[in-house]
This record gives sequence, C-alpha cells and structure tokens, in this order.
Amino acid sequence: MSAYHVVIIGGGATGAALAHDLTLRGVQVTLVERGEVTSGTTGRHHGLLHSGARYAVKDPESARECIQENTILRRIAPGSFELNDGLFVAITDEDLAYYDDFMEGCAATGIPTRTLSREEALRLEPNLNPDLKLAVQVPDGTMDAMRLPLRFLATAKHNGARILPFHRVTGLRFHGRTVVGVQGRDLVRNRDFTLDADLVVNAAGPWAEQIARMADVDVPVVPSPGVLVAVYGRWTNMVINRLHRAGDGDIVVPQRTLSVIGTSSWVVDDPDHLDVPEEHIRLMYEKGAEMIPALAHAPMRAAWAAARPLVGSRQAQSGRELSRTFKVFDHAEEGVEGFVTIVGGKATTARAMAEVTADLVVRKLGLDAPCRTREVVLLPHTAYYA
Amino acid sequence: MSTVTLRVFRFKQGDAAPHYDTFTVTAGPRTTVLEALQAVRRDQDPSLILRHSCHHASCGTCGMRVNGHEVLACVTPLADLGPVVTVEPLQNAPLVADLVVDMHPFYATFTQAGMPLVRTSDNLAGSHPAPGIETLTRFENCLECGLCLSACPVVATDPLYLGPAAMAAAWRVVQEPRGADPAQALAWVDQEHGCWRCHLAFECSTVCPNDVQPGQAIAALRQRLVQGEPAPPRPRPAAAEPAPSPARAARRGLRAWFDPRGRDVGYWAFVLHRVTGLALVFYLVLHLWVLRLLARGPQAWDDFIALARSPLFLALDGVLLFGILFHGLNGLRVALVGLGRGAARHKALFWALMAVLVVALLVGVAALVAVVHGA
Ligand SMILES: Cc1cc2nc3c(=O)[nH]c(=O)nc-3n(C[C@H](O)[C@H](O)[C@H](O)COP(=O)(O)OP(=O)(O)OC[C@H]3O[C@@H](n4cnc5c(N)ncnc54)[C@H](O)[C@@H]3O)c2cc1C
Ligand code: SF4
Ligand code: FES
Repeated sequence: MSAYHVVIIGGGATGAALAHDLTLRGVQVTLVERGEVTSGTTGRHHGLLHSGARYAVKDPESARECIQENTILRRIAPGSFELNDGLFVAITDEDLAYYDDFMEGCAATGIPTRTLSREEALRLEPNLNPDLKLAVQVPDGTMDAMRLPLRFLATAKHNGARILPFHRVTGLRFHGRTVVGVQGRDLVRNRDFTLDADLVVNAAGPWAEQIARMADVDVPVVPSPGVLVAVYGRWTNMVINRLHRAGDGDIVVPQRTLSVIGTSSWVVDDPDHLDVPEEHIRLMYEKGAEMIPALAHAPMRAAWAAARPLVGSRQAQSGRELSRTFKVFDHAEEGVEGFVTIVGGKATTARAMAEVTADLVVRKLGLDAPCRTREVVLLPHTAYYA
Repeated sequence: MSTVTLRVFRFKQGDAAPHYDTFTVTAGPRTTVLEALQAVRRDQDPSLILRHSCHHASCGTCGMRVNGHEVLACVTPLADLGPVVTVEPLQNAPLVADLVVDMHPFYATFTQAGMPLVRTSDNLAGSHPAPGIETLTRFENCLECGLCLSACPVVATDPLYLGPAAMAAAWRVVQEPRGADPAQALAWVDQEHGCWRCHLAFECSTVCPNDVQPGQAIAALRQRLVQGEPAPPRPRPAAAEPAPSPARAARRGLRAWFDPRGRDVGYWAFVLHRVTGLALVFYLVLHLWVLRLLARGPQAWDDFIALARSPLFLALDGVLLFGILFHGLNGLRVALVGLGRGAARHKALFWALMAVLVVALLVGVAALVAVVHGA
C-alpha cells in the first residue's frame, strides 16, 4: 500500500466504486458521507441496470458506456441482477415509426436486440397492453439500488478503505491554493473532525457544486429530480420501456414484489428540497398504464423523488436535453491543486466513472497503478457489515 | 396541511443518557415520517441522524419505532398518527446514535443461514402466484430491515437466539436450496437457541413490512425437523457466536415483556403465558401450605373452610381458574403451532381457544358458586 491518502466526499454509487478502485490500486482511502451510505440519489434510483438502449438514438456516448458496464457488472457482481432483460414496446403508430432509428442506434452502439411480434411479446408478458404493435428485447435488468454500491464498499473496506458514514464535510483545508484535507462534523459523536489528504475527490453527486464552492471553483451540475412511483404487484417480470424518445413515465421496473414506474424530469437549485408533485404521481400512473393497463388500479406503495446530478448548462429547462454521460474535473486547471470532481453518469456506469477518475488521481499522485476493477469479483453486500 | 409534534429520541456517543427533542413539522396527506425527519434535519437540526436509502420499502434501512410500532419510516404517513408522534430507534440492536442502530449483529447471524444471495425473477418453487402474479413469495422479499428482531420478545432476553429473519432465511434454503445445503440449514436451526427457542409471539410476522412471515417459517422448520428423514450425521456448524457485548447491552431484557405499545395478540399470549405460569407455581406452593393445616386438626380446617366460602376467596378461585385455563389452552396452541399445525392461522386459533376459555370459565365459576352456596 502506498503512503498516499485520498479522501472521497460522498458515499453514493460513484464514491463507492471509486473507493474500491483506488484501494485496489494501493491507495489509502477514506470515504466520508454525511448520512448513511447511498442515502443521496443512489439509493433512490429506479433500479434499472441499463442496457443503454434508452439512450441509443439521442445519446450514443452514454449508450455505449451503459452496454459496456452492463457486461462488466454482470461479471463482477454475480447474483446482484435479475437476468430478466427488458422490452421496448411500441404501442402507437408513432412508436412504430421510431423503430428504425432505435434499431440503428442499438446496432451502432453495440446493444444486442431481438424483435418480438405482438404475440410473442404477449406470451412472455401477458399483462402488456394488448394493442401493442411489436416489442424489442434488450439486455436491461433489475438491480438493487443500494446493494450494488454496498458491494463496492464492502470490497473496498475489506481491502483496507475506511468508510465514515454520518460525517458531514463543511469545508476543505488548504495550503495556499492546494487542498490538503477536509473538515466537518462527526454526527455520531457530535464533534468536529479533520482529515489530512494528499488529494480530495468530490463525488457528492447533485451536491457536488456545494462542495466545489468550498474551493471557490465551479462545477456545472444541474440537480434534476425525477418522481418514481412504486405500486404493489409484479405486473411483469421484464423491465418494460416505451419504444420512443426518452420521456416521462416510460419505464416500469419490477422490484421484488413491487413495480416501479418512472420517471419525470425537472430542475431545482437545492437537491435537499425535493417535493413529489401530485400531478407527477398521476402522470406516472397514466403513462405506465399505457404500457401495462393493470397499473392504473394497482395500489400505491410509495412515491418519491431523487435528483440526478447532470452535467451541463444551468439554463437547462427539464434536464432531458442534458447528456447522461459523466465528466471529471481536475481543478488544477482553475488553479486549485489536490482537488478533483466527478459528476454525472448513471449508477450503471459508476465503475467506469471511477476508473477514469482513479486514472487521473494516480497520475496526479505520480503512481503507476493500472485499474483492476474490470476483473475483481465483488464481495456480497452483507460483507459491508462484517 | 396539518401540524404535528415529533418527539425524537436523541443520543450521541459519549452522552451520559439519551433524551427526547421535540420538533414541530407540517404534514400533507402523503408526507411520510421519513420526509418529516429529513425536513427536521434540513431546517431545524442538522445534527439529527437516521438511516434511509430507497424511499420505497425496498432497502430496509429506515426501520424505526413510531409510537412504539416497528415500521419503515419511508412508507409510514405522518398524518395518520395523531398530533404527537414519538420516534425511537429499533430495539435489541446496539445503538449508534439518534435513530441509527448497528446492523452488524443482524448480519452476523443472518449470513450464517447460508442463503445464496441471488436475485432471480423466478417464483419460489411451490408457490402459487395468483393471476396477475401479485403474490410472489420469494425470500428475496426479506429487506434485511431488522424490524422483526426489534419486536421479538425472545430476542429481547436471549442474546444467542438466532432470531426470526435468519431463521426465515434458513427456511428459504430448505424450500429452495439453489446450491446451498438444506441439511446444513436444518442442523443450524436445530439447537437450543434456534427454532426451539421461539415462543410463538408472532410479533415478527406482525411487523414484517414485506410479508416474509418469519414466525410461520420457524414453525415450518420445526415441523420439518420433527417429521423429516433423520439427516445423515454431518459436522454441526458451530453454534452462533455470542453477539458482541454492545449487542447484549442493547437488548431490553424483561422490560420488553411489559411495553404495551405496538404489540399484537401473539405478544399478549406470550406475556400472559409467562405470567400465568409463574402465578401457578406460586399457587402450588400456597396450596401445599394450606394442606399443612390438615395436620393441625379439624378446628383449623373448619376455620379455613369458612374463610374459603367468603366472596373474596371465591373471586380468587375464579382468577385461579382463569390462569389454569389460559395456561392450558394457550399451551395447546403453542404445542400445535410449534409443530407446524395452524401456524398460518395462529390468531384465529388463539381466539377460538379464548372462546373455549370464556365458556369454561363461566361454567366453572357457576359450579363453584353452586357448590359453596348449595351445600
Ligand atoms: C429518478 C432517477 C432515476 C434513476 N434511475 C437510474 C437507473 O434506473 N439506473 C441507473 O443506472 N441510474 C439511474 N439514475 C442515475 C443514478 O441514480 C445517479 O447517476 C447516481 O446514483 C449518482 O450517484 P452519485 O454517487 O454520483 O451521487 P449520490 O448518490 O447523490 O451521492 C452523493 C453523496 O454525497 C453526499 N454528500 C453531499 N454533501 C455532502 C457533504 N457535505 N459531506 C459528505 N457527504 C455529502 C450525499 O449525501 C450523497 O450520498 C437515476 C436517477 C434519478 C434521479
Ligand atoms: S423478515 Fe421481515 S421484518 Fe425481518 S428483516 Fe426480513 S423483511 Fe424485515
Ligand atoms: S428507505 Fe429503504 S426501506 Fe425505507
């Protein structure tokens, strides 16, 4: 293990994957998270292991990342995914008109597809809207939003990383313009703490801008919430997507005994102020029922909101126009050494985000340590508590 | 919008003792306890800590006691709970701070059940999903929330008890091994602190947010052990390690018997069974003491009989009869359910036996009165 110590701010999917990656490269890692791990956006996401098909037409870069990571994750996190695949269903003629673009996009980004006739689709999923025209099967899957990142954290911990939940960062420590650590509040003991670091990584998702401001640098992250509605009943076994341009309420992910309908998209200033507008709940029911009519009468288990950490212009209106890809910022470019930010992406691509970030981190530390996270099989999530 | 006062349990490592803080929050019809606590943390006291992640009853992290009931805060609407709502951490687990408990002991036992952690889309073998597949019963249904351990009166007093969630996992292995060894799981629960330790309060099944029915699973394990082919001798897995000492300190012990908040009939049956059992022992001693009077000659005995005819004494006879009947009839229920009979309908069984109790008690008291006054 090298003598270098890196502090990661944020215990979501991104921070978790990065802690794992850096630990494997021999770096001492301490991860600080203000709440329980995955209590930010990560735990609240839709639970979809993306195949990338959703982005194949409009956001091919993101689509390519998704399918690559989808394949890697199945290998390194066996047992974590339902191997249930996904269907993109065309309900209207308008949907059908999108079919060619969709197939072309999938082919170009390397996403395997299989077109099913109406009858074949209904045989697999009898609760689908019987008016559907056709469906395309893709390697989507159901994942557990909390337990996959827990596996990264568990493995990192067993390789020597320190994970500190309930530690809120309130400021960075400087030597001139170089970041040399963090300070904050230990909420378990109710006292201040400080940590020295050779480098600090800001992986605070939609809060990344708040952290960046502590170093007087700017990170263009747009917190873009979406509403999700979980209803009782597993109405399909596969993930169901609407075959059209990504829009509201067009994905249904079966989770355990629930079906989760999502999502909507708008933009906010403060990711801690998320409401769940009643009309969005209605919209989820309405749109979901267009694909699976029985959803209209399925009793609700929960409705909630989470904020995507999208990278892009603050002028964004709904967040849908922003790419789902990610970006690493080396703040040395703005004159602040020892400080790196990683934002954007998806939970599905967290490992890739960590790889790119860790490449930069080890380069900055002057280490020669290649990434090993493509091969190392993760410990089960229960090992986080062992 | 309504206004609710939250009484929140507070404790930080290093504090001498816990205390309660009150916060006033506004709640809409859908506001959950979790959302209210998040708002408190954001707007009133940033030092408050709690666990949460999925916000839809899937991750199992937000378990806490709300007005004494073990619930998932993320699916518990605040508006239904009255003007003052008390929020406390789960019991029978070591306290970290505020509403956060340490899940290490939970997982230490849970993982010993050997259940493969594989998510599948398949139905559990032997389940009969209703049309619309709304009732899939897969053990992955267990959210690992620990509500069942907090509610269980046996977990409260026996630090080595394997507990409901882990035994439900063991039953899952028996039902559908998926590569694990069912004999191993059966051997693991077949021990003093395993399935035989359960006293069928069924609080676990009452509080379980995802209908895992651990109580019924424990009864099923017993039935399998009683009826099953004798397993070939195999090295017995080590008995559960004693939980680390903080876990033990966190158990509530006997106090748990007498906390009425949030409990259901199975729990009352459990407590009354113990109370009547102890009372009957006391009565037996008393009875022997009374019999000793016989040795003092007829006068002493006649004096006692006169006393025994007083209304107060008759009333005590009625209480005694209740104790005998309750202990006997509930004992029957415990024996039946313990062998896997009627576990699914344990409450109905309880009430049916209580109906028998009422009839027998009335007949018995009438007979007593007749004997005393008729003679
Ligand atoms: C509605 C919705 C649905 C989605 N569905 C999917 C999906 O199905 N599949 C998929 O792959 N992706 C999905 N995503 C995207 C995915 O959830 C996110 O991209 C991902 O979870 C972001 O992870 P993160 O670690 O970057 O951020 P976060 O999970 O938000 O982590 C940042 C962490 O930093 C912590 N933090 C903030 N401030 C501080 C501080 N001062 N001190 C210490 N810690 C701090 C926060 O508490 C938080 O836990 C969805 C997103 C949304 C909004
Ligand atoms: S059995 Fe039920 S109550 Fe117990 S941990 Fe599992 S989900 Fe929670
Ligand atoms: S937050 Fe996941 S169960 Fe409540």
